[in-house]
Amino acid sequence: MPEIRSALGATYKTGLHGGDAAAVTLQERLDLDLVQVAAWPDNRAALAGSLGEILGFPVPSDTRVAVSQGDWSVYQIAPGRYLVSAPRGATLFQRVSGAVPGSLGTVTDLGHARGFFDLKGAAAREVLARGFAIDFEPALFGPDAFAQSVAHHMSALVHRLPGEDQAFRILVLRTFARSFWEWLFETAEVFGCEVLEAKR
Amino acid sequence: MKDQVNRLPGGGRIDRSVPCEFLFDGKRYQGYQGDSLASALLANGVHHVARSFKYHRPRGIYSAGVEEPNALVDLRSGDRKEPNIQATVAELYDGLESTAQNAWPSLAFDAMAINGLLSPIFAAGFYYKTFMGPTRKAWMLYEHFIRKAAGMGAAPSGPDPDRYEKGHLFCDLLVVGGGAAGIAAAIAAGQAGARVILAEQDFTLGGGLLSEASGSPADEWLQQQLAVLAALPSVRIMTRATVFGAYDNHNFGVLEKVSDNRPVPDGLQPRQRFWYLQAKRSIIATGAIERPLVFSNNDLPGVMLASSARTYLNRYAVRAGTGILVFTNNDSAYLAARDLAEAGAQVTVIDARRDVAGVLREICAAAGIELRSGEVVTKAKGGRKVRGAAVADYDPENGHVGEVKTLLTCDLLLVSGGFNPTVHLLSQRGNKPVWNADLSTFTPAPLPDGYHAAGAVTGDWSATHAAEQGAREGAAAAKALGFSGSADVPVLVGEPLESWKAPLLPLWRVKAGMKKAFLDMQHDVTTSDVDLAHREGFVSVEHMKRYTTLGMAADQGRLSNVNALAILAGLRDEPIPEVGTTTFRPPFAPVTIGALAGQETGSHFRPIRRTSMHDWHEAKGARFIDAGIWLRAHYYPQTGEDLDTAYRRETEKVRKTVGIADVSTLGKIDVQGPDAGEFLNRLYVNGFGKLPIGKARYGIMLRVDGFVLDDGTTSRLSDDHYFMTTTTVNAARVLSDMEFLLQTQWRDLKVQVTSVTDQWQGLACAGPRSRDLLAGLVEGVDFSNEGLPHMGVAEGLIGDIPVRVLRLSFSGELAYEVYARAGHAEEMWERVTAEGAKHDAVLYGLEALGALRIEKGHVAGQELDGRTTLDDLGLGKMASSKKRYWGQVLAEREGLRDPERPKLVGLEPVDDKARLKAGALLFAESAEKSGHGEGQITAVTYSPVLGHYFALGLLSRGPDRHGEVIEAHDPLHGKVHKLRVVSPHMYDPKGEKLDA
Repeated sequence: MPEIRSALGATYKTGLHGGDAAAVTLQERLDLDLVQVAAWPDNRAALAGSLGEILGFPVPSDTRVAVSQGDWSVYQIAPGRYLVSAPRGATLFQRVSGAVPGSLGTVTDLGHARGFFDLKGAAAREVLARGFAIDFEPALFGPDAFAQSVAHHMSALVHRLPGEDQAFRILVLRTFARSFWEWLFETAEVFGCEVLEAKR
Repeated sequence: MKDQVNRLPGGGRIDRSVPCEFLFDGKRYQGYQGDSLASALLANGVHHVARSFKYHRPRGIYSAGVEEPNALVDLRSGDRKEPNIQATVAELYDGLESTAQNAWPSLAFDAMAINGLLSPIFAAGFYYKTFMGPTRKAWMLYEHFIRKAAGMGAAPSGPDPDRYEKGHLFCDLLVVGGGAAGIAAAIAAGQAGARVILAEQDFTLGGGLLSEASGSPADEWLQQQLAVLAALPSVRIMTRATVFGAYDNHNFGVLEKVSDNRPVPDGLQPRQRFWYLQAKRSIIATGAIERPLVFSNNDLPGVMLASSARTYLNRYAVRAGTGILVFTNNDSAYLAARDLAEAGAQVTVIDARRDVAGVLREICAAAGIELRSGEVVTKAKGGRKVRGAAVADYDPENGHVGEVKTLLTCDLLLVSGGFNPTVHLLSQRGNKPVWNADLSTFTPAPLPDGYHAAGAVTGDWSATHAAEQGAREGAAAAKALGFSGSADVPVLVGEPLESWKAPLLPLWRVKAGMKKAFLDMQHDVTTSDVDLAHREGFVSVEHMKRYTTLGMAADQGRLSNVNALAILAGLRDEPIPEVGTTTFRPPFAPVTIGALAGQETGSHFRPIRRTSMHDWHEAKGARFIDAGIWLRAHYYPQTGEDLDTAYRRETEKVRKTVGIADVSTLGKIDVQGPDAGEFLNRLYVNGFGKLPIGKARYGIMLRVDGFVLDDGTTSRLSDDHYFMTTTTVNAARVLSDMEFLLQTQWRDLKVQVTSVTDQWQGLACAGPRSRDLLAGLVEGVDFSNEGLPHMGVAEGLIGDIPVRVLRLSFSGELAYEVYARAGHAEEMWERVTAEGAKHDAVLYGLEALGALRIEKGHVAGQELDGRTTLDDLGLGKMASSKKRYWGQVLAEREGLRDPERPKLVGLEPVDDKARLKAGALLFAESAEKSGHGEGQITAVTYSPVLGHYFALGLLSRGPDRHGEVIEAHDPLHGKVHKLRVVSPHMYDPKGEKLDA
């Protein structure tokens, strides 16, 4: 398969920025794939069951908390509508579309439609607070919590990755990704940030 | 450098180990870390620091806080200069630069002080009455001079070099104010388990306690509680943070002055930060502000609030004078008198009350203070500094002021007229404060839901009570929030005098003396202005405020409001509660616009959408143009080319060989489901029910009101799967309408729609050689007319990149659109453009795209402007008569069927050299050029095919007027051109090029 190019171009500068120490790390995740799976209103339960079987773990019933296993995450973004992200090697679209019949719902390949950014470190919540009108207090925005919101006038899905206290993944429309990245980087830079090699 | 003549050798809360050199008005001084600019100036014996707004009178430092009306200065220099900063809240730092403002040629000698001599004619309403004529535009002339003569500091003209940020904060409980009440409340709620934010506008916590002597019991309490607070993980302490606005649902605006205590922000730190704060409950502990006493010349430098002089003494170790008069109507000023006397000053207290409590007399006796009761100051004496005061007997029974009985000398004249609770935030929430006759001031009405108040803002001036009340309200707020933990806040032992023993004697002005007596010093509003407003009928407090401008500007009437409305009440002969008070609105203190903008400046003013090929275009020297929030390649200039020459070359080349354009911005919508065909059939005006797999169709959809919404093509990829393109501008609207219809109108249909604009990026390949170009590059697609006919769809590979090929044309040429997934699209583009070199291909941008479609007569955004119908655009025949479609019913409305409606036409200039302009109004030949005419030019291009300009337009009965000569009137440029009406389909009207 051809290489997937980043939407960020030269604005993605690896290394330490904004000080001698990094309070956060930033990393673009080009290795992550995305599909949307949407059930017909009368088949939501059946589709959830089928999707869970394909993925090997149950899909979330909550629209505010994702289910993650490693780099696999499922977000229910509307009743019966899921975003599934997984490493590209998993050939997600083929796998899911082959197993979800048209009688249950639809599958749409969105594997190039989002920029994925991981934000981790002691100041991650502070960085997010500069843009998102969301209370990221751990007790309220727990492991695997996610929200579809807006930062700096751009739609974004922000997901607290389980396993670490201050680890977040942000999904942004690809054509906005550079604008979003510029904001995210400049905000993180104030705290001191390290931009890691993009993961391919 | 001058000595700090007024600095005491010990005491205070300044850090003498960190001296700070600073400049004021070109002179170098020294202060210490912990000083305000005002305290440092006073330490150096500088009282005269400003000129007043209108009369240019000498002004000094009147207070020690955010209420300061006089000591406004320019801070910093160059593009970092910030005007109208209150010296009392400007934190001193080493290297601080400040200058006096509103004075020329110097602060000491200000030429505009002549305004003071003319003051009898500069009273309230002067501008309204004087500058009304003789013409309506005359004000524009006057304004220039008036603004030079009256005003404050000037903002720098260059862009602000500093960063600003904004952000979001959340908490269970917001405590506003870091004095005794706020500290106790935050501890109580924090210990109970609530998430608390304690916001204090000062750079350190303490509030009124900072004015108590260090080492006093109150100071010990403060130090102990600061340690307790610091150990509470659930309490976030924000200093230099002003809560300036209280809004609905417990939302607050907070301005954090991150770097105003240094000349240049550290590293990448912002100068200021604007926080949106959302709390569940809040405790308002904003304290109270001392009220002035009003008498002749009460604005001289050296006249100061008594409590402020005490603050300067105890907090900053600055004794602001040595011969001090203290003019009061209440007990509180005796604290200042006592402390200043103990610090070595010669102090005389002038108390308007005849009955002064024994304890106060004892204090005076012990401290060597002369006490003159039953007397008032009628007039301050002095020029650029107070030198003395005229004193007369006062009869509290009838307010009668006797003859001046003595002239007392002084270098500092302190005043205390009682206190006003800082009710602003509560007032912003619609909580109209109520008159408290015992305290002679306004106190908060019953609080809005979720609000608590503690401390002096409630009208209780005792710090002991403030701490008790704060702890009680903090615990109550925590309990209401569901936290049941216990709290322990120790008792604060305050000053015995802070709870007044004797009642205050209301004294709104001393009616004596012929000189100006100022109510609002910042706007130079005097008692006589209020008298005038009343005489002229502005008897409502709101009208009086606007007529006199009292209570406006940076100090927001903190010092002037109560005295002014009490005087107005007296003039109306009504009780004060009947007259009421004005409403305080946000912001409580000035907010820098930069902070509100945060990072949304320059290239971050708004988000920018870029296609996958953006960097490639940039590297090739493309010029870009904003298309909504997209940045699109406008044209690709070669050496020496401007827009005109570049797009004409690009257009011509497309028609002759082949052109490649980035069309990634088109909206793209994935339509799936067993009913997708039926859905499209209902949505588009033309039939989509029988679109074969592998074919695309041009379609038009209407709004519900019958006007055209958008056009585009939809391709059928499989039985239940369609790929729709929309115009760039309408992509979101079309998707939204589709969702709306599926969720509300056509719930019987099983269809899912998803935006894939970001998933697929595309190029247009147009021109006679487009087939050759693509056929040599794309594998798996038969590019023959049979294999991929016009409106055919196929999937293939460019190298290893999967692509979707649609044969359709916007230019009128044989043309294709090729789409790849976004992460592959730039590489696809590179391969296609590299292959293009073999076919003499040209890159073309948005301008040439427009030129090609105008030549061809295709409608686009300029014609689909929300006001046109299918018939207007010549597309009426596309509408199916065999089915129903969205918007059909209202499209039949009489007005939309009116034969006189402007309709699409082509327009050629009669004079080949004429350059047409879009937007020009169309008139019949020789008709009077007035009104909106019979239509307008919608789009214009130079047509290489014709060798002159060509336009599309909407003209009343246009299709019936082909051949007629009309006129285009361009009122913006003052030009009229003769045009011939022709068919819009000027280029290849039979469509023969499509299959060339």
